[in-house]
Amino acid sequence: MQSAFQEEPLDAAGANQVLCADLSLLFTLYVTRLLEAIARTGGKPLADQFAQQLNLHARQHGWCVLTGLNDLNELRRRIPDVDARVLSSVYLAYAQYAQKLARQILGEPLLKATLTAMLENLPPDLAHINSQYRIVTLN
Amino acid sequence: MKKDRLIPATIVGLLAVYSAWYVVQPGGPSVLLHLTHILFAICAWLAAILALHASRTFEPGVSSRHVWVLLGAGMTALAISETLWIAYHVVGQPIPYPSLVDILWGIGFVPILASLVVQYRALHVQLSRNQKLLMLVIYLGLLLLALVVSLGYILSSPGEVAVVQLLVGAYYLIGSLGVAFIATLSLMYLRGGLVARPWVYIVISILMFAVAGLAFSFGTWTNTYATGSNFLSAVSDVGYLAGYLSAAAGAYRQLTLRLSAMAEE
Repeated sequence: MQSAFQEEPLDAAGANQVLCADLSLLFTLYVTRLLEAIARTGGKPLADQFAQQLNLHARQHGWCVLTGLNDLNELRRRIPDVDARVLSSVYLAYAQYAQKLARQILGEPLLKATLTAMLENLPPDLAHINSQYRIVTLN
Repeated sequence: MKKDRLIPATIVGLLAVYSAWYVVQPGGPSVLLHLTHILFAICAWLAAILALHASRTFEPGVSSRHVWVLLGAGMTALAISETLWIAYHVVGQPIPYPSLVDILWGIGFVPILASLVVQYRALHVQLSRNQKLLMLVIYLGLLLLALVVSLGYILSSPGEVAVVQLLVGAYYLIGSLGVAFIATLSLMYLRGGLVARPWVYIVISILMFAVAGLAFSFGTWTNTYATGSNFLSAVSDVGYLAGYLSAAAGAYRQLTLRLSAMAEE
């Protein structure tokens, strides 16, 4: 009985960590695809500015306090260890901001083509996560 | 003034001053002729340098870098051609037809046209069939109009237009309009985006070269082209200057694409 009680919270924590990792991977992939599209059509300086602007937005909207990470770039090295539901709503808000910014840079048709290509090529596990949390949408 | 208004205002202002000079001709036709070709050379060099510089905003291997390198290479050839024209006049040599000036201009136009085709292919332009058809009809209409005007003269004056002149005129016209059509499709695909802004100027530039080229061809066929002498020559000279200025503006706009500009524009 004691071990079962010990296992249950461990499993929940493990599941939460896996979900945080998947959500972070999905969000990082999303930002990377937008950065690539901007660098291809508008140039590297514009893509760098997009990344800076997104980081600034994240810092102004509680990223450091919530995750303990300095900026979004740290996602490539560390996965935030927080409540996955909270993290998903944070990523959703940042993704919406990134999409709004990318729409202004790329225009609607090119943005749509970029996102469509990304959604079509998502690995099945990330596609499943995205269908649940709607981080990447065409709207 | 905001950048996207300052650039067209500067172009229109420069063209207005040049047009006024063209009409009034202070210093006589010789001054206008030299001013015209000096302006052509300066603007062509400016477009070439800015386009080559703009290519460096893209990482090596990216298609857009090739697009701007091709545009810069083409503009360099046109700039050399315009500079050669000045050199011919400085040494007082008559310019034969076709001369090295014409040949360089013809060669220089190829990479410019190629750059816009590369841009179209790199973007994987996805437009509806109706959008493409609409643009095709507009450009075919323009081409037909130009051909009717040209053929009208050629058929009414048989033997006056040399075959080589006819072919050169057709090359510039069909080439310019064909590539302007492709460039317009690219622009439609990028519509509404910050990245479209340089291409607005590049498409205008190609269209200006098409108009100027047609006027120049018609002027040479009819032996009426002479800087400062008539309306047809004015259309050609102002058109070429507008083409060079627009190309330089497009490259400058690529170099100055900034996110912060979105808020102020």
